[in-house]
Amino acid sequence: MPDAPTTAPGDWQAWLAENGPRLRLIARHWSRSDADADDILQEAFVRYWKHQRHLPGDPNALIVTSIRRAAMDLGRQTDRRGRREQVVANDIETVALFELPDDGRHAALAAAVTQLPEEQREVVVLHQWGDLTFAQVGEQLGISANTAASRWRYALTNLKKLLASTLHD
Amino acid sequence: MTDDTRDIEEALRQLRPRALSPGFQASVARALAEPEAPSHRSKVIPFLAWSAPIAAAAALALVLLPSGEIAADAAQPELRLVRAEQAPSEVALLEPVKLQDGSFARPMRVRWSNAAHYRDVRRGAELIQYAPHDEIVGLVPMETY
Repeated sequence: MPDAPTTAPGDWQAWLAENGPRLRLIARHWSRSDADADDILQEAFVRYWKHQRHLPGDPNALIVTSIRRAAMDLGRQTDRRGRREQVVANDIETVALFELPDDGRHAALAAAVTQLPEEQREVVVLHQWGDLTFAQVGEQLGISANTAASRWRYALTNLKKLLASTLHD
Repeated sequence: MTDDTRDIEEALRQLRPRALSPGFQASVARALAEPEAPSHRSKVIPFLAWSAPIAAAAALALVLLPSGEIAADAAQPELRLVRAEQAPSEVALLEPVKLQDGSFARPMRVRWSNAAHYRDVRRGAELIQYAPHDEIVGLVPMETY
Protein backbone atom coordinates (compact mmCIF):
# COMPACT_ATOMS: atom_id res chain seq x y z
CA MET A 1 0.00 0.00 0.00
CA PRO A 2 1.43 3.40 -0.89
CA ASP A 3 2.06 5.91 1.85
CA ALA A 4 -0.64 8.46 2.34
CA PRO A 5 0.17 11.59 0.39
CA THR A 6 0.59 14.69 2.47
CA THR A 7 0.65 17.51 -0.04
CA ALA A 8 -2.13 18.54 -2.40
CA PRO A 9 -5.61 18.44 -0.89
CA GLY A 10 -6.97 16.58 -3.88
CA ASP A 11 -4.54 13.70 -3.48
CA TRP A 12 -6.94 11.86 -1.25
CA GLN A 13 -9.03 11.00 -4.29
CA ALA A 14 -6.22 9.13 -5.98
CA TRP A 15 -5.30 7.45 -2.73
CA LEU A 16 -8.88 6.41 -2.10
CA ALA A 17 -9.37 5.23 -5.67
CA GLU A 18 -6.37 2.96 -5.30
CA ASN A 19 -6.98 1.69 -1.77
CA GLY A 20 -10.69 2.19 -1.27
CA PRO A 21 -11.93 -1.11 -2.72
CA ARG A 22 -9.74 -3.29 -0.52
CA LEU A 23 -10.47 -1.15 2.56
CA ARG A 24 -14.16 -1.38 1.82
CA LEU A 25 -13.84 -5.15 1.68
CA ILE A 26 -12.47 -5.03 5.22
CA ALA A 27 -15.29 -2.72 6.31
CA ARG A 28 -17.80 -5.05 4.68
CA HIS A 29 -16.42 -7.97 6.60
CA TRP A 30 -17.08 -6.17 9.88
CA SER A 31 -20.51 -4.82 8.97
CA ARG A 32 -23.99 -6.10 8.29
CA SER A 33 -24.75 -4.51 4.95
CA ASP A 34 -23.15 -2.77 2.00
CA ALA A 35 -24.57 0.55 3.15
CA ASP A 36 -23.04 0.11 6.59
CA ALA A 37 -19.70 -0.75 5.00
CA ASP A 38 -19.78 2.49 3.01
CA ASP A 39 -20.61 4.47 6.15
CA ILE A 40 -17.83 2.78 8.10
CA LEU A 41 -15.24 3.33 5.40
CA GLN A 42 -16.23 6.96 5.01
CA GLU A 43 -16.07 7.66 8.72
CA ALA A 44 -12.76 5.84 9.12
CA PHE A 45 -11.21 7.47 6.08
CA VAL A 46 -12.30 10.98 7.04
CA ARG A 47 -11.01 10.47 10.57
CA TYR A 48 -7.76 9.12 9.24
CA TRP A 49 -7.32 11.82 6.63
CA LYS A 50 -8.13 14.69 8.96
CA HIS A 51 -6.43 13.52 12.12
CA GLN A 52 -4.14 10.57 11.70
CA ARG A 53 -2.33 10.63 8.40
CA HIS A 54 0.48 12.76 9.79
CA LEU A 55 1.16 10.30 12.58
CA PRO A 56 4.32 8.30 12.18
CA GLY A 57 4.09 4.61 11.54
CA ASP A 58 2.33 2.33 9.13
CA PRO A 59 -0.63 4.26 7.66
CA ASN A 60 -2.24 1.03 6.56
CA ALA A 61 -2.42 -0.34 10.09
CA LEU A 62 -3.78 2.99 11.31
CA ILE A 63 -6.62 3.12 8.84
CA VAL A 64 -7.52 -0.54 9.36
CA THR A 65 -7.68 0.20 13.08
CA SER A 66 -9.87 3.19 12.29
CA ILE A 67 -12.18 0.98 10.23
CA ARG A 68 -12.45 -1.52 13.05
CA ARG A 69 -13.31 1.20 15.57
CA ALA A 70 -15.94 2.69 13.27
CA ALA A 71 -17.42 -0.76 12.70
CA MET A 72 -17.55 -1.42 16.44
CA ASP A 73 -19.20 1.94 17.10
CA LEU A 74 -21.80 1.36 14.40
CA GLY A 75 -22.34 -2.18 15.65
CA ARG A 76 -23.04 -0.92 19.16
CA GLN A 77 -25.53 1.65 17.88
CA THR A 78 -27.21 -0.91 15.63
CA ASP A 79 -27.43 -3.41 18.45
CA ARG A 80 -29.32 -0.86 20.51
CA ARG A 81 -31.79 -0.17 17.74
CA GLY A 82 -31.87 -3.76 16.65
CA ARG A 83 -33.55 -5.03 19.77
CA ARG A 84 -36.71 -3.32 18.59
CA GLU A 85 -36.23 -3.19 14.88
CA GLN A 86 -35.01 -6.69 14.13
CA VAL A 87 -31.78 -5.99 12.36
CA VAL A 88 -31.37 -7.39 8.89
CA ALA A 89 -29.32 -10.53 9.12
CA ASN A 90 -25.71 -10.49 8.07
CA ASP A 91 -25.77 -11.29 4.40
CA ILE A 92 -22.02 -11.66 3.88
CA GLU A 93 -22.58 -15.07 2.34
CA THR A 94 -24.76 -13.73 -0.39
CA VAL A 95 -23.10 -10.50 -1.42
CA ALA A 96 -20.52 -10.03 -4.13
CA LEU A 97 -17.30 -9.03 -2.42
CA PHE A 98 -15.19 -9.08 -5.55
CA GLU A 99 -15.28 -7.89 -9.11
CA LEU A 100 -16.65 -10.63 -11.29
CA PRO A 101 -13.63 -12.81 -12.10
CA ASP A 102 -12.88 -13.68 -15.69
CA ASP A 103 -12.74 -17.42 -15.23
CA GLY A 104 -14.63 -20.10 -13.37
CA ARG A 105 -11.82 -21.01 -11.02
CA HIS A 106 -11.48 -17.50 -9.63
CA ALA A 107 -15.25 -17.12 -9.46
CA ALA A 108 -15.37 -20.32 -7.41
CA LEU A 109 -12.57 -19.03 -5.19
CA ALA A 110 -14.42 -15.75 -4.59
CA ALA A 111 -17.46 -17.74 -3.52
CA ALA A 112 -15.33 -20.04 -1.38
CA VAL A 113 -13.93 -17.08 0.58
CA THR A 114 -17.44 -16.25 1.77
CA GLN A 115 -17.90 -19.85 2.94
CA LEU A 116 -14.89 -19.85 5.23
CA PRO A 117 -15.50 -19.92 8.96
CA GLU A 118 -15.70 -16.38 10.33
CA GLU A 119 -12.41 -16.53 12.25
CA GLN A 120 -10.52 -17.73 9.20
CA ARG A 121 -12.20 -15.35 6.79
CA GLU A 122 -11.28 -12.29 8.83
CA VAL A 123 -7.63 -13.33 8.89
CA VAL A 124 -7.71 -13.82 5.13
CA VAL A 125 -9.34 -10.44 4.59
CA LEU A 126 -6.93 -8.59 6.88
CA HIS A 127 -3.78 -10.33 5.69
CA GLN A 128 -4.56 -10.52 1.99
CA TRP A 129 -6.45 -7.30 1.35
CA GLY A 130 -5.57 -5.37 4.47
CA ASP A 131 -1.87 -5.85 3.77
CA LEU A 132 -1.29 -6.54 7.45
CA THR A 133 1.41 -8.78 8.83
CA PHE A 134 0.32 -11.66 11.03
CA ALA A 135 1.50 -9.66 14.04
CA GLN A 136 -0.70 -6.74 12.97
CA VAL A 137 -3.62 -9.07 12.25
CA GLY A 138 -3.15 -10.53 15.72
CA GLU A 139 -3.23 -7.08 17.26
CA GLN A 140 -6.45 -6.22 15.45
CA LEU A 141 -8.17 -9.41 16.52
CA GLY A 142 -6.69 -9.82 19.98
CA ILE A 143 -4.90 -13.05 19.11
CA SER A 144 -1.23 -13.97 18.80
CA ALA A 145 0.68 -13.73 15.54
CA ASN A 146 1.09 -17.50 15.59
CA THR A 147 -2.65 -18.00 15.89
CA ALA A 148 -3.24 -15.61 13.02
CA ALA A 149 -0.73 -17.47 10.87
CA SER A 150 -2.30 -20.77 11.84
CA ARG A 151 -5.76 -19.55 10.86
CA TRP A 152 -4.35 -18.35 7.57
CA ARG A 153 -2.94 -21.80 6.85
CA TYR A 154 -6.23 -23.48 7.78
CA ALA A 155 -8.07 -21.02 5.57
CA LEU A 156 -5.86 -21.81 2.57
CA THR A 157 -6.37 -25.51 3.10
CA ASN A 158 -10.11 -25.03 3.40
CA LEU A 159 -10.20 -22.86 0.30
CA LYS A 160 -8.38 -25.55 -1.63
CA LYS A 161 -10.91 -28.16 -0.48
CA LEU A 162 -13.88 -25.90 -1.24
CA LEU A 163 -12.47 -25.09 -4.63
CA ALA A 164 -11.85 -28.73 -5.49
CA SER A 165 -15.33 -29.63 -4.36
CA THR A 166 -16.95 -26.84 -6.37
CA LEU A 167 -15.00 -27.49 -9.53
CA HIS A 168 -15.57 -31.22 -9.21
CA ASP A 169 -19.34 -30.68 -9.06
CA MET B 1 3.49 -21.60 2.95
CA THR B 2 3.35 -25.09 1.54
CA ASP B 3 3.43 -25.90 -2.14
CA ASP B 4 -0.05 -27.36 -1.66
CA THR B 5 -1.53 -23.97 -1.02
CA ARG B 6 0.79 -21.72 -2.97
CA ASP B 7 -1.56 -21.77 -5.95
CA ILE B 8 -4.45 -20.70 -3.71
CA GLU B 9 -2.40 -17.79 -2.40
CA GLU B 10 -1.59 -16.76 -5.94
CA ALA B 11 -5.24 -17.01 -6.96
CA LEU B 12 -6.30 -14.93 -3.94
CA ARG B 13 -3.92 -12.18 -5.02
CA GLN B 14 -5.71 -12.02 -8.34
CA LEU B 15 -9.15 -11.45 -6.83
CA ARG B 16 -10.02 -7.79 -7.02
CA PRO B 17 -12.31 -6.35 -4.32
CA ARG B 18 -15.44 -4.79 -5.69
CA ALA B 19 -15.10 -1.17 -6.76
CA LEU B 20 -16.48 1.66 -4.64
CA SER B 21 -19.94 2.88 -5.49
CA PRO B 22 -20.03 5.83 -7.91
CA GLY B 23 -21.19 8.38 -5.36
CA PHE B 24 -18.80 7.35 -2.63
CA GLN B 25 -16.02 9.81 -3.41
CA ALA B 26 -18.48 12.67 -3.65
CA SER B 27 -19.84 11.71 -0.25
CA VAL B 28 -16.33 11.62 1.20
CA ALA B 29 -15.57 15.00 -0.37
CA ARG B 30 -18.58 16.48 1.41
CA ALA B 31 -17.53 14.92 4.70
CA LEU B 32 -13.98 16.23 4.34
CA ALA B 33 -15.28 19.70 3.59
CA GLU B 34 -17.38 19.83 6.74
CA PRO B 35 -15.96 22.04 9.47
CA GLU B 36 -14.07 20.39 12.27
CA ALA B 37 -16.02 19.41 15.33
CA PRO B 38 -14.39 20.73 18.48
CA SER B 39 -11.80 18.32 19.79
CA HIS B 40 -12.21 16.98 23.31
CA ARG B 41 -8.57 16.73 24.13
CA SER B 42 -9.03 17.77 27.70
CA LYS B 43 -10.44 15.15 30.01
CA VAL B 44 -11.17 17.77 32.68
CA ILE B 45 -14.65 18.72 31.55
CA PRO B 46 -15.45 16.32 28.74
CA PHE B 47 -18.85 15.54 30.17
CA LEU B 48 -19.91 19.17 30.14
CA ALA B 49 -18.57 19.62 26.66
CA TRP B 50 -20.63 16.88 25.11
CA SER B 51 -23.78 17.03 27.18
CA ALA B 52 -24.13 20.78 27.45
CA PRO B 53 -25.81 21.36 24.07
CA ILE B 54 -28.65 18.94 24.74
CA ALA B 55 -29.10 20.08 28.32
CA ALA B 56 -29.11 23.70 27.19
CA ALA B 57 -31.64 23.00 24.46
CA ALA B 58 -33.91 21.18 26.89
CA ALA B 59 -33.61 23.98 29.46
CA LEU B 60 -34.22 26.64 26.82
CA ALA B 61 -37.35 24.86 25.67
CA LEU B 62 -38.66 24.73 29.21
CA VAL B 63 -37.93 28.41 29.85
CA LEU B 64 -39.21 29.84 26.58
CA LEU B 65 -42.44 27.93 26.34
CA PRO B 66 -45.17 29.08 28.72
CA SER B 67 -46.46 26.23 30.82
CA GLY B 68 -49.90 26.54 29.25
CA GLU B 69 -48.47 25.99 25.81
CA ILE B 70 -46.52 23.03 27.01
CA ALA B 71 -49.65 21.48 28.35
CA ALA B 72 -51.50 22.26 25.15
CA ASP B 73 -48.86 20.80 22.87
CA ALA B 74 -48.49 17.24 23.99
CA ALA B 75 -46.24 16.46 21.02
CA GLN B 76 -43.38 18.44 22.54
CA PRO B 77 -41.09 16.18 24.55
CA GLU B 78 -40.06 17.29 28.01
CA LEU B 79 -36.66 15.80 28.49
CA ARG B 80 -35.12 15.36 31.92
CA LEU B 81 -31.59 14.18 32.42
CA VAL B 82 -31.86 10.94 34.38
CA ARG B 83 -28.23 9.98 34.62
CA ALA B 84 -24.90 10.35 32.86
CA GLU B 85 -22.21 7.75 32.69
CA GLN B 86 -18.62 7.79 31.62
CA ALA B 87 -17.13 4.35 31.11
CA PRO B 88 -13.62 3.80 32.49
CA SER B 89 -10.94 4.71 29.99
CA GLU B 90 -9.10 1.94 28.26
CA VAL B 91 -5.47 2.79 27.57
CA ALA B 92 -3.39 0.74 25.16
CA LEU B 93 0.12 1.01 23.80
CA LEU B 94 0.16 0.19 20.11
CA GLU B 95 2.94 -1.31 18.06
CA PRO B 96 6.19 0.69 17.89
CA VAL B 97 6.47 3.15 15.05
CA LYS B 98 9.54 4.79 13.59
CA LEU B 99 9.72 8.57 13.90
CA GLN B 100 11.23 10.93 11.38
CA ASP B 101 14.41 11.30 13.42
CA GLY B 102 14.97 7.55 13.31
CA SER B 103 13.93 6.86 16.89
CA PHE B 104 11.06 4.60 17.90
CA ALA B 105 7.98 5.25 19.95
CA ARG B 106 4.73 3.54 20.84
CA PRO B 107 1.48 5.40 20.16
CA MET B 108 -0.79 5.55 23.19
CA ARG B 109 -4.47 5.05 22.46
CA VAL B 110 -7.25 5.97 24.86
CA ARG B 111 -10.84 4.82 24.44
CA TRP B 112 -13.80 5.80 26.52
CA SER B 113 -17.46 6.43 26.08
CA ASN B 114 -20.07 8.74 27.53
CA ALA B 115 -23.77 8.08 27.78
CA ALA B 116 -26.49 10.45 28.92
CA HIS B 117 -29.97 9.06 29.64
CA TYR B 118 -32.88 11.44 29.23
CA ARG B 119 -36.54 10.71 29.93
CA ASP B 120 -39.50 12.37 28.31
CA VAL B 121 -41.60 12.90 31.40
CA ARG B 122 -44.78 13.15 29.35
CA ARG B 123 -44.57 9.94 27.44
CA GLY B 124 -42.13 7.96 29.52
CA ALA B 125 -39.89 7.52 26.45
CA GLU B 126 -36.15 7.41 27.00
CA LEU B 127 -33.40 8.97 24.95
CA ILE B 128 -29.85 7.75 25.26
CA GLN B 129 -27.10 9.87 23.82
CA TYR B 130 -24.10 7.65 23.33
CA ALA B 131 -20.71 9.16 22.47
CA PRO B 132 -17.78 6.79 21.97
CA HIS B 133 -14.30 8.30 21.81
CA ASP B 134 -11.10 6.85 20.49
CA GLU B 135 -7.98 8.98 20.37
CA ILE B 136 -4.26 8.64 19.93
CA VAL B 137 -3.13 10.91 22.74
CA GLY B 138 0.62 10.69 22.52
CA LEU B 139 3.79 8.80 21.79
CA VAL B 140 5.88 6.96 24.36
CA PRO B 141 9.54 7.13 23.31
CA MET B 142 11.49 3.88 23.22
CA GLU B 143 15.19 3.33 23.65
CA THR B 144 16.95 1.00 21.26
CA TYR B 145 20.19 -0.82 21.95
